[in-house]
Amino acid sequence: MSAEIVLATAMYESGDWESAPLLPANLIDSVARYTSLPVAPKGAQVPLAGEELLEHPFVWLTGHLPVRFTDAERRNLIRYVDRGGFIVVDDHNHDVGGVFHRTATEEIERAFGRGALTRLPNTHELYSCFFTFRDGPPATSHELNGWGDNLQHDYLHAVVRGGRVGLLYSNKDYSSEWNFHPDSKRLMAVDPTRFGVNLVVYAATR
Amino acid sequence: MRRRGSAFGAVLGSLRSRLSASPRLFSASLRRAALERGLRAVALLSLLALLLLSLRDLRAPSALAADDVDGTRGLRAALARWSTREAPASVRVALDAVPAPVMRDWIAALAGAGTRVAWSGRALPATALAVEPVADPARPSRVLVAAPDGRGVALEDALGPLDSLSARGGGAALTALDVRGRVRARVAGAEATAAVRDSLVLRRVLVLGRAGWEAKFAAAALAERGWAVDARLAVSPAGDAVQGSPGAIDTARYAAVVALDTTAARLAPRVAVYVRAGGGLVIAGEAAATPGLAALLAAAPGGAPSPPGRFAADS
Repeated sequence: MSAEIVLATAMYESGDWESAPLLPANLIDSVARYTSLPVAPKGAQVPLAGEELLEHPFVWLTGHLPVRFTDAERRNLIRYVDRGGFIVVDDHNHDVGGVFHRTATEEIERAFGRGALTRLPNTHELYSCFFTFRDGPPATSHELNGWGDNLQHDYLHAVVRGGRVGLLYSNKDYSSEWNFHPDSKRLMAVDPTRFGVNLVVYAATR
Repeated sequence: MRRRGSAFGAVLGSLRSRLSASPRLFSASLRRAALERGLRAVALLSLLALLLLSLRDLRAPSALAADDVDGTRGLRAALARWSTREAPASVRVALDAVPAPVMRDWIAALAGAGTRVAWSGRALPATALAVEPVADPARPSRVLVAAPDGRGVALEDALGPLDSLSARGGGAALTALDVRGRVRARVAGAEATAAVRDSLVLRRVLVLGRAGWEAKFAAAALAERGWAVDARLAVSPAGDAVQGSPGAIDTARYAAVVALDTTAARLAPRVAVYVRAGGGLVIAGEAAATPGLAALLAAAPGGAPSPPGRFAADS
C-alpha cells in the first residue's frame, strides 16, 4: 500500500462505470490544489470484485444503467466498507425514479441490510471537514436541467459503519458536475469540485 | 557506765512496777505487740524472698537452641512458651515450611519484645508476588512472581485458578485480563499473596500525522482498542482535519502523543514540554527524524533491539 492516495473508479459488470472519464483527473487536480495530501497524479480503475479495491481509500462509482452486483462484487463491497474504505455512489441520471437509482439502492440494501442507507444530516462533518458547506451538499447545475427528475436533492444518503460514513449515495449528479477538464476551472467563479475535496479529506482522515 | 546502767535500771524498774500494778494490761498489749512484730517480720522476709527470686531470673537467662523447635509443627507451642513462662534472650528457629502469617507476626512480636530471633529455612523457596495495573483500556493486571528457576508457579485469584507458569530467569510474569480480589502464588508449598493497590487513570491519546491511510488506521486501531482518541491530521498549510476534540497538549488531558510523520514537527516544542512534564510519546516512522522530536528519543532509531526482560512469561 503506497503512501500516496490513489483515487479509484470502480468497475462493475452490469453498467457504464466509465461514464465520467474526466472526473478522476478533475478531483485529483482539486485535491492537489487545495490540500497537502499526497495524492497520486493519476487515478486508477479497479474491479469492484477485486482485491485491489482494498488498496484505495477513495472510490467513485457511477453510471446511467441498471445496477446488478455479482455475488463477488457485493461481498467485496461489504468488505471494503467494513474495513474502513469510502465509496461514493453517484446517480449519473439524477433521477430518483430512474433505473440507476432504483437498482443501486436495492443493491446497497441487499448488501448492507434493509434500512442501512440512511439520510445524512446536513450538519454532518462531511460538510465541514475541509471546506464548509452550511446548507449541506452543494447543488449542481444538472439537477434542474430538465433531465432526470428535475428535482433539487437536498440530502445525501449514507451507510454508516462504526460512526463513520463508509458508502455515500448521491442523486445530485456530481459525476456530470465534475466531469470536465481541470483547466476549465479558471473560467469558473466558484470551483464546483470543492465538495469533492471534502469527500477525499474525509476518506483520508476518518 | 553508771549512767547507762542507771537508765536501763530505770526502765526495768518501770516495767516491773507496771507488771506488778496491772497483770491484765501486760498480757493484752504484749500479745498485740508481739503479733505486730511477727507479722512485720513475715512481710519483710516475703519481700526479701521475692526480690531474691527476681534477681536470680535476671542474672541467669536461658538461651534455647534450634533443636528446641521441631520445624514448623512445634513452632506454635514454642512461641506460646517463649511468650509466657519463659523469656529467652535469644531463640533460633529452623523452618521446614513457610509459617502462617500469624506465626510470622508472632515471631516478629517476640523480636520486638527483646528476644533476639534467628531463623533458617534451607528448604523454603524464595517467593515474592506483585500485582500492578497495566495502562490499557481493557484494564488488565500484570502479575510478577519471583521464584527459583524451574519451579512451577500456580496462580489464582478470588474466582479461581488464573494460570500455571514455569519460573525462568528468577521468576515469571503473566498479564491477566480480569483479576478479582487477592492473587495467590503457590510455589512448592510456599504461598505468597498480593492485591492490586495502585490506581490508574487513563487519559486520551493524541495522534499527529499527515492525512492518509497510516494516520487514519492508527487512530481507528487505538479507538477500537478502547482509547479515547483525538487527532490532528495535516491536510493543508491552512489547517488540519481534526478528530475528537484536540486540546492543549498537557498531561492533564493526554496519556500519550503518537507522532507518525514529519508533520508533527509543527507541534514539537509543545510536545517537548509535555514529555518533560511526564507525558508519554510514541514516535513512529519519519517522525523519528524530525529535529524537534529526535531530541526526545531515548535512543537512535535503527539500532539493535534490547534483549528480552528477565522474567519469561510463559506457561
